[in-house]
Amino acid sequence: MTRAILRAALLGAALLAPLAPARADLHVRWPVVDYREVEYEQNGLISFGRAGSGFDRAQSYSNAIGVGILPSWEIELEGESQAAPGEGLRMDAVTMENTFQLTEPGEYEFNLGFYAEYSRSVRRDQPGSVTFGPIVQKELPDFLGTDSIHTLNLFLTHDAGPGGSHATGLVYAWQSLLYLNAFASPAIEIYGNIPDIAHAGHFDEQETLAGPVLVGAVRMGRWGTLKYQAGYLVGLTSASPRGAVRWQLEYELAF
Amino acid sequence: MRAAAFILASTALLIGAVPASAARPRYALALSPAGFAPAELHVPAGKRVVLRVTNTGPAPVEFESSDLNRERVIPAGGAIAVYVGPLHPGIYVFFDDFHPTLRGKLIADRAAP
Repeated sequence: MTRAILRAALLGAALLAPLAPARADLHVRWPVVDYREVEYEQNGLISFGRAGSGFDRAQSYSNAIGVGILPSWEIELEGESQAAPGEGLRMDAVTMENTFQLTEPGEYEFNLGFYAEYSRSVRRDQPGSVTFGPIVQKELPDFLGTDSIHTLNLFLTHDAGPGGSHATGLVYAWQSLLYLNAFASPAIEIYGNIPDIAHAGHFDEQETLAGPVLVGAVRMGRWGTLKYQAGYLVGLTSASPRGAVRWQLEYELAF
Repeated sequence: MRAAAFILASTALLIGAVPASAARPRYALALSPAGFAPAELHVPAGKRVVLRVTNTGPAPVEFESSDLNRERVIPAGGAIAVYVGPLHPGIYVFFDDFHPTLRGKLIADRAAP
């Protein structure tokens, strides 16, 4: 009986998964803190799917202000907004993000960091959430004839507050970047989301996207640095959008 | 919670299992309002090296290099270690991001000491 209920719940979750809104937080975090820099960051994601599905032209945006207040700690305050297909944009959550740099880049075989965030929904009927986990990065100086940087985010997520689920989710992200030059370097990214790791289900029931991204920066001396990323991700499972355009714009200014 | 414990334990193992940087050649670099000294630093190609960058000036500076993918603030009178390499033979530009006209070159070559 319990199994039947569980299966029904999993099936329901799988059917509801395509209705999940797009998430602008699809970007790979690096284990590096920009100490004594203030930054403004915008992330955008527009997903595409079958007409009438929850993915078709769903939009998600985040805008954040961050400061590297210590050599090993950067804090960001982010506002997130979303628009379901055919609906207007509305504020969704406010998030406090913390990135901790645990090692000096290049000092060890792996560059390590830790990420922790608390997100508070602005809607009264929605719980908040906590997300945390390690950031692991490997620099390979001679990969396919050029320098490359490979980064893994492995984050656990859990609802926080009344009305929240007891499930623990796993959000993972991978980026392999081939460093060509500062202005434009190609990367491949993979994003996955398992809402309940205790009942992960089949791979096809998990949201998984992958695709190419272009990463670059323009340095403007004392006027700061403009960093940008843009790419197109393809949904790899039936619980994913057919595709999604994602971008990130970041302006950094030292102080 | 098991998953949380697994991820945290894996990270701890990763940190613990990876050896600290073995003895790497170290090179000194000083940064003052006059610029980098030396302005050109030769290091061996194909090896991991450590740059010890000292800020001898009265204000904070930021050692930065797009070529080396390194960026680090140095307080007045402070010093940092920058870990780079192994590098291909070539020229890698670095600069003070707070004073971008102050620039230097790291030259990785086979014959460097």
